[in-house]
Amino acid sequence: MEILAEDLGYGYCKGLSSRGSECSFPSVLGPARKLYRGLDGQKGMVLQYDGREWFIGETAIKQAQWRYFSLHDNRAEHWTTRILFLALSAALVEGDWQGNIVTGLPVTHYFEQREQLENTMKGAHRVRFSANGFTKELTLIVHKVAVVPQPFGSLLALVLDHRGQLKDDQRELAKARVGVVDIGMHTADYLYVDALEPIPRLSASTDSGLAEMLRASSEGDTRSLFELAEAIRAMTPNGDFRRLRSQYAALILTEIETYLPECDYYVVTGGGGEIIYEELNLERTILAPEPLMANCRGYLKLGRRLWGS
Amino acid sequence: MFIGVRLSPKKDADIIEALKRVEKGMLSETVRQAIRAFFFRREPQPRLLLLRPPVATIRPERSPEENLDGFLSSLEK
Repeated sequence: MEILAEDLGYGYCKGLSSRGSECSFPSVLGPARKLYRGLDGQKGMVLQYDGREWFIGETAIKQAQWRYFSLHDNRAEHWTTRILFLALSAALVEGDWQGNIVTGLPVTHYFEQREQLENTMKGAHRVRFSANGFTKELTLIVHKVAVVPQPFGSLLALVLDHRGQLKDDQRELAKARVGVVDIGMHTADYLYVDALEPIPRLSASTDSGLAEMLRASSEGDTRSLFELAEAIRAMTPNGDFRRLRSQYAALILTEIETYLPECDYYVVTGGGGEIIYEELNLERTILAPEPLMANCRGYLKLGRRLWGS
Repeated sequence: MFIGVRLSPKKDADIIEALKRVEKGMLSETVRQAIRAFFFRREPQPRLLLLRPPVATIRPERSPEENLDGFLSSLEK
């Protein structure tokens, strides 16, 4: 059974397939309009679904007259989630596809939205998708959906091997009380895990995402948050940036102390986690490998443990 | 019913004055008595509200594989 691992974040959509394809784009969409070479021939990402055409990701940021991204509490039932999920899935497969999906939800909304998200994804979806100058029409048939607390993927990426079995050299981490700190673009998630059992009751989500720091650093700058995030990743930290990063890390440390019980280890992940990891100065802290994609890597391993492939 | 109480170095007389200002009928006699008992208790104060349950420092040995598979079985109805 083929598997797609999808992390539909407030900032970026990230995905992996069990066949090895990988994709990420900003979680932004907008109504498509004709450009110089028509919709099909252009390099950008376009999804046609249910009689409407949408620019997706970077294409929406650059070309759409109206740009939509959702910070709605209930992402599972928001219409933009369905469009982004279909675009990400279509980007990850070659043609008609059927299989299962592993995805995640923020800790705070996990129980109330899990079933809604499953229902959004399950079933048959007919789409037309263009990217990099190629267009394909395909049907996606989703049989099963497993929804986990979002940050759990990053811990699983560390402790499971590619078949989803526990790695011998990660047994100590697997048995420990771990706080997973997942810093996204618009939210920060704090998940408490005891011996690989996620405990949402002792976990939290806040709106202290990386955007907090980006806004503070970009007074008078007209670039989008996504462009700022890319610029920050590429830059050599100067004095001002180091000061802001240090202040933002102090905010995250306060939230860790507030929301998480005492832990044996902390795993820092997410695009924001990558930027502030050095400033956190916590003992026994591990930066997830490839923090932006770490949740997806864990989802894929979990899918293989569940369903094989 | 929960009553929030901010402890302050007020003297007993001040507290009695404060309680007198609570209009009759606003609080039942039982609640008024409970407040008095709380303020005038000389023994260590009970902790009324625990914000975050403490995590046991001595834990039974747990199998991460069993925990993970238990979690996974909850995902597949």
